[in-house]
Amino acid sequence: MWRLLKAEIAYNKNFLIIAYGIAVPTLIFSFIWEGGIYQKGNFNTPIIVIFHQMIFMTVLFPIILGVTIDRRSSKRAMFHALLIHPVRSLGIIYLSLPLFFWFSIVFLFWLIYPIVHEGNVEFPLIWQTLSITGLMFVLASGPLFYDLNHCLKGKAAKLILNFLGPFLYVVLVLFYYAAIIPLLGNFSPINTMMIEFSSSSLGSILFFCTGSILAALGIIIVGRRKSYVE
Amino acid sequence: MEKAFQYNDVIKTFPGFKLGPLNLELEPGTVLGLVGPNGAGKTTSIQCLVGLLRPDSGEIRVFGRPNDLNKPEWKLDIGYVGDVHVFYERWNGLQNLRFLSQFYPNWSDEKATELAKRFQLPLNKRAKDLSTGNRVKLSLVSALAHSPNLLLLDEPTSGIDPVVRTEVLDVLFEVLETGDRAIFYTTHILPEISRLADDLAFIDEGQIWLRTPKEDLNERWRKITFRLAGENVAFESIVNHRKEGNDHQVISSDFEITLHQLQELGAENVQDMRMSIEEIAVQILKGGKDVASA
Repeated sequence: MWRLLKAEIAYNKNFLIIAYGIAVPTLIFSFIWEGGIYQKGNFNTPIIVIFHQMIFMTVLFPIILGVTIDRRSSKRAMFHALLIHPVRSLGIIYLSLPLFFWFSIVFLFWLIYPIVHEGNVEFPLIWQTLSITGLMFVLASGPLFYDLNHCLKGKAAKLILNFLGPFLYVVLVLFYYAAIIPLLGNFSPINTMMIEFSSSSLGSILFFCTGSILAALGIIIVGRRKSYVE
Repeated sequence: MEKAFQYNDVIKTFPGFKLGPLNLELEPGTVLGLVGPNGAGKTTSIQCLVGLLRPDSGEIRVFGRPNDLNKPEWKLDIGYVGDVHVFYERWNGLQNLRFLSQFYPNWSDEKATELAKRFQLPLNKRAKDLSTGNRVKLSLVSALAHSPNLLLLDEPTSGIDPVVRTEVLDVLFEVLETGDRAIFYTTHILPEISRLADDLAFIDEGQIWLRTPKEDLNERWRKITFRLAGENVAFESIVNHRKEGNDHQVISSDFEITLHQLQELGAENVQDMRMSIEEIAVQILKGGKDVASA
């Protein structure tokens, strides 16, 4: 597994350099500018979290979803399935890069935040971080819907997956970015509800568990595909 | 000694197509050509073997080991060149070969370099910038550099020009001569297979109709011309019959039986001619199961 992981890191080195090259300065700048948080209604939300979701979406998301967007990237599962390597560990490898990026940025945020705020930590921010981590798991397991296509038979099942998966993702994007993208202003009240819910302990556990379950499913499904032919 | 591979009652279904039940095996050191028209099931068969497709039922073994994707040690014995050539596209040929070499204890950098030189393959070019012919060459280098005991070639020369095709066949011939390797080769380009194969298997609509040594086909099949008066004579072992007046031309799948019958019927000017493997294969594929089992 480590050989393949090393190769994936080396192969995506440039993307990772760009991602960290944007993320780390932005994180530092956000602390200088706003103390690292952003006010939304009655809640503070980690500003850096929003920025890094955007980075995640625009930089790493295409990598993760390259399997559905770029035909040549979609052949990577075929390439990896031919290697002398158990297919059941491919899912872990595919998730590890984007999640490692996310966890390293979150770690950096929580390293700096208590220093800047002199040890005063707002608990809703912790719950939000957990919620958004769950959301990151959901985003990172995007290829799950694509891989499920290679496990299921039947046109109806495939139709549901091909419609449902992208629909859910569009909904998530709309709800979460409604606060900061003017064109999505009509979804703003729902966005506020989302932030309130995700700032609670119950909400964060729900988000995190949902994300974890989807991520686990995504890992298992890759190894259970009936076809690695694109 | 273990068979190079064994298919045991393998079935794989897609909408509108069913492969199998497939029962096929290959002895070590033998070259088996799988011949069939487009859509016959050649690629599906070989993809089931290498693990790109999971059969719906049945079992496949490679040198006695089941082709379990989670216990992939059986892949150490095989080299595969598919109809689609996959690499890390942003890496050049050398980077891809270095990556692959980590997985094979028997990998030889010298052999890989020598093959690349032989093929005039530019290893400093990114995989995505390689032409179709060069991608085939890179696949072949990847497949041959670790000296596999079983080579699986799925229409490897499809889409490449005749010059490259000849180079590829020359290398494969040398591979055959220098080792006790088994080769499973699928193609619909008949002249290729006639040069390489020991045995031929004919497949269509997901079923193998016939498997026979190439030499058997050479020995048994003939074009026979003769003169014989009379209408509606049923000739034995005939797959094709043309007649102009009393002059006949037939293609026989067992010329000894046909000649014996013609002798009894009193045919005149009987002449038989050997057929090329390509001509025989065309007759088998055109004629279907009935011809294959004749």
